[in-house]
Amino acid sequence: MTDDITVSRRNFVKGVATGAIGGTLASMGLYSYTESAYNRLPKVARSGQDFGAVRSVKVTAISETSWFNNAHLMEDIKKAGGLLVDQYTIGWGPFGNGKGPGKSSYDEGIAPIKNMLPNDLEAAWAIQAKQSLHPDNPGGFATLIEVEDLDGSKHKYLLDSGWSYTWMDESFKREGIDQMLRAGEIEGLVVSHEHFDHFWGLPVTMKYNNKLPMYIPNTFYKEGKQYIVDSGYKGDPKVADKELTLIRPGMMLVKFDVPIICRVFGELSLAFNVKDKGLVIVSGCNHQGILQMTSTVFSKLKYDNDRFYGLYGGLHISPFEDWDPKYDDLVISLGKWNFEKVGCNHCTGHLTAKKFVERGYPVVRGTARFRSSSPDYLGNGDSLVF
Amino acid sequence: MPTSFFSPANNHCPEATELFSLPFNWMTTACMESGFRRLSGWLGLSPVASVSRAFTCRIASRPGIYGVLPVSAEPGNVGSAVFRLFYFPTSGDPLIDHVFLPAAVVMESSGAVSRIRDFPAHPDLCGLFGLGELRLSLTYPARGIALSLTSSTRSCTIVPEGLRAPDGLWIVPPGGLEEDLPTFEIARDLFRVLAAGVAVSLGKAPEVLAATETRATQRFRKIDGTLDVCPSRDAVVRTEALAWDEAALSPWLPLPLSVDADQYRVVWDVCGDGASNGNEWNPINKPSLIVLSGFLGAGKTTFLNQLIEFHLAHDRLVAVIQNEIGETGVDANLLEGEDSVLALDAGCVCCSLTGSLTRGVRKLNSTLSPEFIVLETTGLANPMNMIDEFSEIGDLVELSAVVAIVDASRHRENIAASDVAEQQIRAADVVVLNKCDLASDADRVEIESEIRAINPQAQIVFSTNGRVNPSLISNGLSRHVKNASSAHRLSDCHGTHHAHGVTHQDEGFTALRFRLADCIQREELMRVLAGSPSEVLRVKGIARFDDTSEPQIIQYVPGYADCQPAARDVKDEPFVLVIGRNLDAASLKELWRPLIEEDATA
Repeated sequence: MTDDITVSRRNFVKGVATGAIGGTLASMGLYSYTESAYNRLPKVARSGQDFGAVRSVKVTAISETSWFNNAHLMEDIKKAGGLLVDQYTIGWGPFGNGKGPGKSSYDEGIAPIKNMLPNDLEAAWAIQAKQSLHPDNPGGFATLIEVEDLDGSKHKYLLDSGWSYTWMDESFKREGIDQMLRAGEIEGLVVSHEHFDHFWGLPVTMKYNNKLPMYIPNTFYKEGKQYIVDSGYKGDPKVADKELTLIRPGMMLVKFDVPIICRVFGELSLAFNVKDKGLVIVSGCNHQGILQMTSTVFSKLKYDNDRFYGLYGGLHISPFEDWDPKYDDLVISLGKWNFEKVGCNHCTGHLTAKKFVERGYPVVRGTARFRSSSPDYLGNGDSLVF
Repeated sequence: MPTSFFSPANNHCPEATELFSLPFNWMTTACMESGFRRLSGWLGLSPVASVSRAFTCRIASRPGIYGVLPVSAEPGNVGSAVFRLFYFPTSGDPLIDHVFLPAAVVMESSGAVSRIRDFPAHPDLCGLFGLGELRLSLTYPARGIALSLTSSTRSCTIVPEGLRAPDGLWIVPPGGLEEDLPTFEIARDLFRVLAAGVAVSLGKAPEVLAATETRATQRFRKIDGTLDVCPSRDAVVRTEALAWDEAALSPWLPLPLSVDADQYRVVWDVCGDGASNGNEWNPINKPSLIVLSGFLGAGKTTFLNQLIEFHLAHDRLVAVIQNEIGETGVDANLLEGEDSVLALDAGCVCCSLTGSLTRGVRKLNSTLSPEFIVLETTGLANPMNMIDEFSEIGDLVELSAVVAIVDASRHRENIAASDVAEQQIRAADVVVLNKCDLASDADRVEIESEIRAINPQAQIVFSTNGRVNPSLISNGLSRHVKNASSAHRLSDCHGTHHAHGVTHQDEGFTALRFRLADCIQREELMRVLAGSPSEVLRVKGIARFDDTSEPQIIQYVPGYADCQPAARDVKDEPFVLVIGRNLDAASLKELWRPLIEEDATA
């Protein structure tokens, strides 16, 4: 193409694009797509499954402090070989074997403590403290969910069971979870994913009730399945193998098949339909990213007012970086969905949470107690009702 | 290789949705390997809202946006899935002169980029920008995988009668080409990055590279605007396949032609030895070094905190080497993740480096092996003086960017006060013009052109409160590295001939440190700060007030004073560091006397 023609072509294109030259393309017959056009595209449809409703949902952060020092955590992962390394080999409690980063294994780690689970957790953790990396760093993630049915009856669930035996036992006692479990008031444990900070504290729940219904994604590795047995569980885990699994009317498990760091795969989130309000999303980490979460529930579920009402959990920025750095901003994108109540913590990030507050998003702030690090987080011991 | 992008729920033959998920999942997995993005040029992806598992993405070698759309799948013992590939040349991409005219119009229209984010929802986007097909096949239960790309080597549309614009000028000459794209090449640029993603997430390179070709077509635009198709004289539809397991190739056989392996070099590069072992030396594990400069009080620490949190949210560790004027660390107290901060010995890193930076980098590499190391220089540092040292640590780090933070509200005063402020801008790859909220629009425009005059090569980014997406500054390599490799010195390429750049001692900058009383009054502190003479350019420190138990961080630049609670426990004794030019120590001590601990001036 000669330069002159290139210039006139560009002027023409810009003129049509800005409307300065109107209607021309059509009159030139130029709007005929190529043969590859549009003939095999998947249809976008909202299936809109009706899954009932609840009157309210209350969440209480039993512990959102998964670990207390980011640098120590990252240092351990790096020394073990990086983000692709199997979490059971890193050398953290309860699977440390004293051989150093990246040289541990499920079998060697659990051998000396297996017979102490789930009843003698303090002794088990003390043994692990001697042979694991940064033994004071683990905390854990666990949330109490109280669902109020339309008939007014209340139903309690746990989302995750944390990490450190001692920290989680202390946190359970602080929030009275130990008593609730003993009394059989908690109707189920949902394990969002196999990660150390959500799952490895499982014996703490087992200590108080080793028969409660347990929901796990179908993507656990063999070590994770074995750990459920070794933790003293006497029930049969309910394995979520479909995208949607109904737990009770108005309460749905949503499964995402995503790879997660340290050789974990798949995460379960919870969706609730709160009557007259809308959809509430409760997540552990949101490794699938908020966009995946919202677009899945938008296309698959039916909920009141057809609106997103509430959001709780670690608002992990999308696991994949956006190709446009200006766009990769959870602070801006969260605004689009127009949630009415947001409680964030865990992996959200202090500055991110602070920016939500500054932007006037409806973030329910916490009290920064029990080692929670920011008042912008719904912190340990804080509650929120949707 | 312990991690895999396959679900461990492997007791069934993969279904269509699982096959469709694979590209998404292997790219997510590959990005967990530090250095993958840098080596492959992968810039990230965005899931498409309307079609599950479709995504848009970008790579470093093309300015436009790619789309990947799953269209069909056949589960089975050799399951396969087909994805359509698209390329949307964004405004400014030279390819925009060679796409269909309606396609060029679409891309030049406002809102094009946001529509592309959901391209399957827009028929014009799907119809005009198709490149070809990506296929994958997967054996069960062995999980051998193969990928192939099928596309025409040249996609063109001839207009025998030519096309004229309404003003009569030819936009396509008679017999010329309305559309003329090297479709296969464009598609292969993405295909090789996707293949590199498979390689790094499986931890191994492919075993087979093979190709086949069939005849291609070309198009004629008829006088009524419709298109006719006929065999092409020069183009072929080419298929190139990579297999990690030969059995997975079976659906596409025969593949009789060979492939230029050089085209796929990156696929082997990313899975160099020890790709999964962070402790061994490997280019994929080399941290990126960001040199952060900025005049006193410009907002370096605020910016750095955002950078740390951003990368942490993507599971990447940022370590910081801090170098402060004066004895200790206000700044370390202000930083998130204090345990990854390494304070260099007192003194200014750029005046007396003598290997301390190298030692610092070595120490961080061996203890934390971070993805990023930020060298936070003092507000008076002249990065020009460090350039030689950067070339010496090239084995240990990739110098990714020299960043200068500029205070938009005090730019002129700072430039007038010190050559160092100008030198910082001159040395920068990226200038972050911060505190834009404190400057008028007119000022901002003027400052921007002043910065351009000092450093035409720098990328300028505007910000308020140090808020800049760190990806804007940490993708790629600093031009200082590129210059060094072509035997240029920084001073040469700017035509300045400092044997040594100006240092802050040359300019008469000093710092005074006062130990504050354990408990002081807030009003008194504010009064003293407000009374600072004009030579004082920066005050920072830690104070304890009588009205609150929490330690407070003191911040002062001319015209602005502030005290905020420290984000964390601060154990240091209360103190201030007063930094400025030609400071009169005696009169400053007199000014601060009401707040100074008796006989404890440091």
